[in-house]
Amino acid sequence: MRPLHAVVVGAMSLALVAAGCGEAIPSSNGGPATLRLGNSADGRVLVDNEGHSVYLFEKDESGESYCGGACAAVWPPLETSTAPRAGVGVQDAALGRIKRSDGDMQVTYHGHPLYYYAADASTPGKTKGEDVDQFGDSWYLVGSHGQPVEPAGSGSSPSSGSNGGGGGYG
Amino acid sequence: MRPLPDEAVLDEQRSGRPPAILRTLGAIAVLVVGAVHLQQYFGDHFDVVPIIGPLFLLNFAGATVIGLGLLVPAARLRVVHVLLALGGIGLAATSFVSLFVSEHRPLFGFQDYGYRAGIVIALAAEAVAVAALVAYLATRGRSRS
Repeated sequence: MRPLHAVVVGAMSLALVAAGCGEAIPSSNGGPATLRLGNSADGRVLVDNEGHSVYLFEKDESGESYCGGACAAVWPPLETSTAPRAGVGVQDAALGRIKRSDGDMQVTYHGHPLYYYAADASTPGKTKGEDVDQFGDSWYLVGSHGQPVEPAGSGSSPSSGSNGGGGGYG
Repeated sequence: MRPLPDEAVLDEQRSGRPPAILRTLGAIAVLVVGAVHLQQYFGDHFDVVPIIGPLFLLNFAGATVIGLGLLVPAARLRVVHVLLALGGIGLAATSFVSLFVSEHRPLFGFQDYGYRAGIVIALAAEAVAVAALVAYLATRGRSRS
């Protein structure tokens, strides 16, 4: 095999091997979803049972997701095939599911479809998606009552869904 | 006095237009692959995705170098064209496989979501690039023998 051919074949092999490596961003595994409150720099926020932060998208309306395609790749929807369960600090009755356009079921809290953020990678406790403006509107961590959580140190309040309180409740 | 054409130029002329057409087609397809990755990086916020984001930028940079290099119509660059064609095949094939894999399972911790327009364009361009550049190398090989 000529050296350059070996490099090309090696690079492709590496890509294939890498495909089997790397911990997944928690996304559409469809398994049981349990949500609880966890601590963050912005206060007590909704996290999954492994501590990964979840977010709401202000563009979503009436319990319908407006995040698909590339948006759903960067903000993977929290999907589950079974009814979501409430952990510590989460209101069981406020949990629900909606059917996405691809037929998968996405978890909602107080009517807000919930998402992970790819930039948080697979590291529990990261909140890089807090107060980020992408895909046409803002993304926020979720408070115990389903409200968007105000970033720590921010004087302004997120515009929608607020039903009292800012960060640090729960 | 005009210099006499060297063997490489005569070889290019003898082999006719198909190699040049295939090389140009492959170059354009590789440039499209890079452009789609750049669009995804900046336009669709893939800059925030660990590992995958920087790889998209590298893809764009590599595709630009390879694509523009292949478009330079100099017969004396035949060896360089062959190397660039091999690089283009490697880049396009790796992108194709990676994209396809990431649709079904995590790749570097990232899983893509659906066959949106950008992905369809990228897959098509990658397939065209591989086919055109393989055909280009094959015609070059035939013209030498």
